[in-house]
Amino acid sequence: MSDEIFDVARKTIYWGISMLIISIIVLAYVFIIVGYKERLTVYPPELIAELLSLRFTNAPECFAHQDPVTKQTILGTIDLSKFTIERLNKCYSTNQETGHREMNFHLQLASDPEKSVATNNYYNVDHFTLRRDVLVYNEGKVQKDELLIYVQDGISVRPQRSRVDAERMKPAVKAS
Amino acid sequence: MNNRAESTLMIIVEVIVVIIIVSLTTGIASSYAKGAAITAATTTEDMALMVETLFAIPGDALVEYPLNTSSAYTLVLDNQQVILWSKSNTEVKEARKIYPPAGYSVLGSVEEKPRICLEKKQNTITLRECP
Repeated sequence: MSDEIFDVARKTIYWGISMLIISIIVLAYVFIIVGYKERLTVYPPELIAELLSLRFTNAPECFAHQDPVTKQTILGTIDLSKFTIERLNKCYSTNQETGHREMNFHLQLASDPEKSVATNNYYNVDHFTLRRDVLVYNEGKVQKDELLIYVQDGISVRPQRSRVDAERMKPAVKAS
Repeated sequence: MNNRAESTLMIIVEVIVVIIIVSLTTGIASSYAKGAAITAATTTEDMALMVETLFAIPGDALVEYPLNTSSAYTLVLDNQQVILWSKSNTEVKEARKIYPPAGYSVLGSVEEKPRICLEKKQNTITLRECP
């Protein structure tokens, strides 16, 4: 009698542990397969950043210079009069609440680091930098320069903005 | 209970459990091996990146997606994302976000067509069957 009771308890424990281990193995297998699929379909973030940032120097809606007479857009240029945060926000912006998980950019001209703009969810977390040779149009003058594009490739938690960053992110107020 | 019958029953149950587990894992692996999920993911990402590239092109453009797997899928484009799903396999569904500049319209859909094109006219990008 006691042997039978012991057998029942033993088998219950055996099956409980077996089911737990088998479930863990199956779940681990599923995660491995899903991870394999993710690795097969990953696109390099540098490629995505290159294509997203093409608009900054090629689209007249962004910063590209447009000939005032012929209205032809000149590729690979920055019109300094357009190089503002307001323009950038119209050119590329992410969701205010969840945009920190997406790609954000900080653009800076190498010749004058003061001339810089950043997208609305940029938090100074640079994952890599793109460099692009550009021609800068400023009041009829053309100058060769280098555009530095600091890329923030998605962050899981939105950091607290420092007061300095908050001031820098405000749209410029035009003098009356 | 008869010990021999009990152990036989245990063996049968264990064999059934093993068969179920092996079938499950083989089914999962074979669905990924067929490549439908991989193709859907890469097609959706390709389409999103093509749209982003078109935003950077001043003027009008027409570009064809070069891979002829689109006949198995339905693609929909709107101002926020590219969505793809497979009618033959309802579990295959992918979506990718896009970031149109202000003033741009992004629209269109194709349903199981062999050749699909993205057309940019002025500030409108349309997904349609190639002419």
